[in-house]
Amino acid sequence: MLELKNIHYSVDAPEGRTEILRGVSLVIPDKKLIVLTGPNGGGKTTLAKAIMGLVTPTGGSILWNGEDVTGLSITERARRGISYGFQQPPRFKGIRVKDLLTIASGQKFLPRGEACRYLTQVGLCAADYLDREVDSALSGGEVKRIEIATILARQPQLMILDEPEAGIDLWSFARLTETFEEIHARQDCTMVIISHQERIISLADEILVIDKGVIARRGTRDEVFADIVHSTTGGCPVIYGEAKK
Amino acid sequence: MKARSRARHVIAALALAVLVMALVCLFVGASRMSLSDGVAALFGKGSAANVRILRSIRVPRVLAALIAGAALSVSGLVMQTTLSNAMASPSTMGVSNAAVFGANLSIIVFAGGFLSTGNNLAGYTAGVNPFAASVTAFLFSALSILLILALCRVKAFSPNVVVLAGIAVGAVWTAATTLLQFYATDVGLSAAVVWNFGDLGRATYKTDLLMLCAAAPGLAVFSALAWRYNALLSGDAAAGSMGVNVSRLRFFSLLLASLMTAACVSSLGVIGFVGVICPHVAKRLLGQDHRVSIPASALMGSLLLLCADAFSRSLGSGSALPVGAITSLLGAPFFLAIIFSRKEHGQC
Repeated sequence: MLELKNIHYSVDAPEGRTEILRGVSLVIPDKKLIVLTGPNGGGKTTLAKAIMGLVTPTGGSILWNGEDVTGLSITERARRGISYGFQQPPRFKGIRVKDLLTIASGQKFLPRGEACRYLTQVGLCAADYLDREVDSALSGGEVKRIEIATILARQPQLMILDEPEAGIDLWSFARLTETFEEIHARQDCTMVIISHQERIISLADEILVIDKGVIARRGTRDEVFADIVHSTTGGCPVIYGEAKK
Repeated sequence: MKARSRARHVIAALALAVLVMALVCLFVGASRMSLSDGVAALFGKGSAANVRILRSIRVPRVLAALIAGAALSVSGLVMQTTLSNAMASPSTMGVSNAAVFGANLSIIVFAGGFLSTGNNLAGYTAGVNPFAASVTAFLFSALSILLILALCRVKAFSPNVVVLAGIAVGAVWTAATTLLQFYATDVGLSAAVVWNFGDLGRATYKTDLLMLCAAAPGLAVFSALAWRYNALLSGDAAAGSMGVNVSRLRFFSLLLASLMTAACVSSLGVIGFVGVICPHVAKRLLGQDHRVSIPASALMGSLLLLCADAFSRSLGSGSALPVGAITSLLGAPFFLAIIFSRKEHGQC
């Protein structure tokens, strides 16, 4: 179980101290699929990074399976089964896809069939990619899918994905969504996905709308989805619950 | 599969070239000893002069080129990966500067020995302790490394901080060396400057053993960590999320690479550029996979030093030129040719 207790995160900006997260508290039970959504700059990615240990909260604590992991590094959290998929995938270079999957799996040798399975799950034709070097010849979408395949290879207990749909074509996105659905149905791991895509949001057990550093709205798809509208003038999402206030 | 086959072929070709150059350095020299006499001398037969030339001069020299070349080159490669900086090399950590200061201190202040004759002429010729300069050089290198790594621990070994701290501390050693040399006698200054020239002629079986003791475990550890270095190519965060302890990896890699360099520099003097040229050429030829680039860099380093040694002995008309200058003279044009060639097998 993941528990966030009054998480604060602030940074020094030219205009003064800026609070990115303002007292986020949250409990995510095991094997649940949670989607974080909300307007840009609301604090979703920062919250996800705080869970992974990529940023250290300026206040509050994070408990994973009852252990306080607030002060632990990303490595120590990875070893406790937490994995993170970046919004902008890392610049893997000079390494074959199969080798990358082997490193991610933590095994000395990853059977070819298993490596193929991870690639297929993200909509890549394994035969075309397995022995290919991850270099600048690959598109951003391909690298993104390879990165998600490495997360699958890690077989994490908690999978955090930051906009996995970014840069991915429609067909691959459909396959990826099926994969998330299968993982969720098999109860393989807890999933926290930052997304703006209706198909991914519709998979969620619970949706959290993060805005201005707080949880502005939470509930099931039916409870939350109807509340989110986009203004036609500025393009800024308005949350009815808040707007009515 | 093509890449693996290519890697095997390139590494085999490099190993062959190293072997050929080692034999050239062993059996070709100013004494004009015939090949048959050379082979006989290697096994202790023939004239006493030939045996002495081969066993006491050429063999330790070739071994020094093999060991120091591999150690300096792989140290450079590891530093470039762990610091995510293509220009990182043993000199980035100020190792060479500290070694030069240590050796200069020993030569100028202690006249080549420990607290013996001071800054006077007699001490230099007396040769109080031939290893004193090397020992002091190593001690100061190690001190410098530990100082930089201790400073950088505060900033979690951020690559930029390590590089900047290395440059700053290196500048302090250089300034201190300049001050020492300013107050040195003519003889002391000459002795100190000559020490600074990287010279394979200084090699003995003892120095070779010292370098091997640092290089062999270092190379073995780096090879075992190749996977982690590959993960680190994706960036700190990505490597961390794959379970690689980036700070610890960076600390131990830099410490080990610096100690390997310190062992070589304190034994042979400053041999620059090997740690920059060879890893870059290896990566250009074979890509960044450390399982391949570590052995390729090691062989490339040995080859460059052997070539530089052969070249320096052929130009010196009896006396070898400083190999440290030759490595840059030979390596830099080749390096530029590789960089500006159109063949792309990975980024530098």
